[in-house]
Amino acid sequence: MSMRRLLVYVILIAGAVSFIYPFLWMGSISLRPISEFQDLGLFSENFTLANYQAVFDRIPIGRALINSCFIAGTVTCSVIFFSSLVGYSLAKLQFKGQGAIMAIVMISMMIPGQLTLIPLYQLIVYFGWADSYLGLIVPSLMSGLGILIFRQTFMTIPYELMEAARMEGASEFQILRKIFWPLAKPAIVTIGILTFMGSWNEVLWPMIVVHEKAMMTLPQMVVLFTKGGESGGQFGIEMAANMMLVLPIIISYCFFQKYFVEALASSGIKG
Amino acid sequence: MEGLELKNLEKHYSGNEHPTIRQLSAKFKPGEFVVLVGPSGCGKSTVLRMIAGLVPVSHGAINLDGQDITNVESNLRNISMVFQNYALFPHMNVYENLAFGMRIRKEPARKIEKTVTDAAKILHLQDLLDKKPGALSGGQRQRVALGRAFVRKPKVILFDEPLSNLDAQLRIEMRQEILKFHEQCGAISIYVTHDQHEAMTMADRVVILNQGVACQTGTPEEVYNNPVDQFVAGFVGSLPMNFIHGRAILQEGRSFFQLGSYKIDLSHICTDYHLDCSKNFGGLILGVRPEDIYLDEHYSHAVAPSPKMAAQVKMVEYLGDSTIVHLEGDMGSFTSRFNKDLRVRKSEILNCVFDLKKLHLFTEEGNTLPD
Amino acid sequence: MQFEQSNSKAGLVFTSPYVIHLLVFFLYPVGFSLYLVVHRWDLITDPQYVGLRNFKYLMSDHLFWQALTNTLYFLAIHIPLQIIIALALAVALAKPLKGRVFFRATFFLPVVISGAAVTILWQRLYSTEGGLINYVLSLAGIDAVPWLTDPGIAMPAIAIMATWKNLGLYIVFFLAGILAIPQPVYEAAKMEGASSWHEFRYITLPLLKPTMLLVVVMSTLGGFNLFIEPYVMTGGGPQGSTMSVVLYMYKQAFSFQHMGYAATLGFALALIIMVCVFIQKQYLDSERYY
Repeated sequence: MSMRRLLVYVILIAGAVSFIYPFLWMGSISLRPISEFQDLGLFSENFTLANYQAVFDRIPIGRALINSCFIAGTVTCSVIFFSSLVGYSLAKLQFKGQGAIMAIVMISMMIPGQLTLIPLYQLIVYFGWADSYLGLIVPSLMSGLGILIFRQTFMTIPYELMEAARMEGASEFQILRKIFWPLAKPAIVTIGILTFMGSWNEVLWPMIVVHEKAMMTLPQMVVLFTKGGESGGQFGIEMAANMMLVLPIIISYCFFQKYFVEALASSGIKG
Repeated sequence: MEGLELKNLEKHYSGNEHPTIRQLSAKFKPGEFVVLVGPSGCGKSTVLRMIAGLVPVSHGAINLDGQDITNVESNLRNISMVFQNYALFPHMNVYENLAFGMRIRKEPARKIEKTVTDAAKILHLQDLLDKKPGALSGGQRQRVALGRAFVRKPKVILFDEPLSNLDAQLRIEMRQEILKFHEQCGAISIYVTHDQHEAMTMADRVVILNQGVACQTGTPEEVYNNPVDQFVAGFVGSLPMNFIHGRAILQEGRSFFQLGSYKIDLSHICTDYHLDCSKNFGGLILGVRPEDIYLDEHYSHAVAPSPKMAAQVKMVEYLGDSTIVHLEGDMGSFTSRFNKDLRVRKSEILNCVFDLKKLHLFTEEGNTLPD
Repeated sequence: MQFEQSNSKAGLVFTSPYVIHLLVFFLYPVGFSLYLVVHRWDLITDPQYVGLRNFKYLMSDHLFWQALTNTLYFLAIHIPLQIIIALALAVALAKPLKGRVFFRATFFLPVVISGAAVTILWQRLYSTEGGLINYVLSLAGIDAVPWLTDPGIAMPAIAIMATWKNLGLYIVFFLAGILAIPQPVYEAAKMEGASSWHEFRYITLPLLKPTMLLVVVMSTLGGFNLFIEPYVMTGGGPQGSTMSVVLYMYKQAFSFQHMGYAATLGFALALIIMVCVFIQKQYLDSERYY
């Protein structure tokens, strides 16, 4: 091995360590008694679940976990379903107003969310949806990015397949369900991952519309827990709460690493 | 009336100035294999899709066995279609592909199974039923596509350039298979292609389309021997017809085609009436197929030779079964197909004759002379 | 070949939920924000028309300008750092080497993690009492750095963290860009006697321009979205040095109930973002050559 190649490996390995070690350390700290909070190593003879017990005792984190799962799940299903409907219409059908809808999809993606944040909050308050699932879910039911990805994918599917199905009497929805969905599995996975992750990790919007503990999402609750002092400033407990926030994503990432990378790489088309 | 009838069919697309299909009328008898042929963009696929019910008709009517089906839903027409590249559903296996339509129509499972098994038997697909289209060879895919059309027991089967993306060798095999299938079905087959060779070899009758208009309908022999206009004459035939611009003259009660000092006797192809009329047509176009040009002294007794014409060889293509020679002489450039045994060299001067019985005559506008 | 189809009805039915959603949750808020910027509203009493007073206040609001400057400061550190490191690692990973997938997956890990979680973790890493980073520095003989409590260092600290979090995504973008460059181009260059550096400088870099634009635009959008990081780590301090525009907007709206002014901030921020992205596109946009 040449010196140069060796150097490349040393840099890459150092980089990999600096990316993984903090997470390992976080996991380790969350399992250790409070007295060891300054230990920067990974192993201890005193591993305990006490910190997790403390988190469950102090905040309804189980409820937050359920909230987050429910919200992210609903939003993901909705985005996949409705984006594929719109994507199909834009890619394969012809109807009045099609051009206008395409234009507005682009515009809605170009305009930064900061513009609508406050008015959207007003609207949720007006609907009486503050502190409710509706307020957390309904604004995110549709996604311009999802529409664009579906449209691009569907455009590559030949018209002949639709015509063949139409001649057999398939309705447009049947064509979408029986032909386009199965053929667009990669796009569905991509949009599913992007949407679920986006919803799961979102913290600003829940902090705006939810103030009741019972309705809080996981990241929101963990942030308020560490920030608001309920953790008592104890590293181990904070890291335990944080572990519960990252673990579901890390575990799915370990299994579906390739899909995560592909999905996020394709989010670049909005740039 | 039994069979399929198109009456003054028209198609206008919004935004297009000219109609895509103009005043198209045609009749198709049961058991007939008819080929719609024309250059790309002539509207042949649109005609097919109007018959299929995939594209709405602007004007005119489509009748099937005496019933007006112009506005009937596609799936209720008793018509099925074999698509370009076959359009098999790639995520379904062969069985599911064949069963797709019946499942959409919610037919009982037992009936579906029986129909699919029967079709599979006829098309030799029994061993392939659980394979996906991606795992099939080109020939097998075509059989699945035919099977999908067959399970509906249609009165009309439409073929939309199914062979256009296959290699030459496979294409010949697939043609045979389609024709055999057509005979088994007994339905009206309407086959669209841009390949005149395919049209001529497969069709009972051909309909030649150009710019949305049906120029000529007839058997392959008819359109080859008696093209109605210069377009058809140039389109049909594996080598395009040669066209020579000249004038008609009358001498001693006989009509001649004249170009420079050459005079070609037209009495074999013109009646006295034509002869009379031709006075009104100063300019004429003489059409002669490459296969109707002979080397001096190398023609049979059946040929009525024109006077000899000297021409220089510009290019030679040896095809094996024949030799194509591109020539240039006082008549301009033209192409001829000669016997395979002939050996000519570039720049050589050859003496050619045309077969006077096989000449074609068009007006300057490309139409035949009026009867 | 595309044929006209008689399916206008299906198209309308399929898109109508989206259109209705868009009208209510996008177009209406956009319109309402235009209304709010010329009103004063505390959520309780009726909105009061104030004309351009919100804008006038905005122009003279030094907290807003500080927040904007902070954000630009963040971008000025974050973007170059991001591009240099991501590009270097992408070039390293583009070579055929063992464990490429492993390294890529590792660098990508923080990308999928919630920004909130990363922030909570890094708050501990930056700690002056038993923080991992200061410990590593101490091994090199460097004194403990008060990362989050020194006004001059807090924002760069946040920028370093953001770089760590997003690096993997940009490595993937650059890697895809590099691998898309046809190999014969490099072979041709080699035959002209180009060194590795020449190849990078005159082939890879120019042909990565579209990726560069993507990275710059996406980091800019991310930078202007900065919220949870300062919210958790510093609350905008010390001395307002990490106050971001979104955090300031959040505080105006929900700590002080200045809805009209918060909407004005959102409006101004959206405008600034669009202008920034527009300028970046003007400078960096180029044809894709391959």
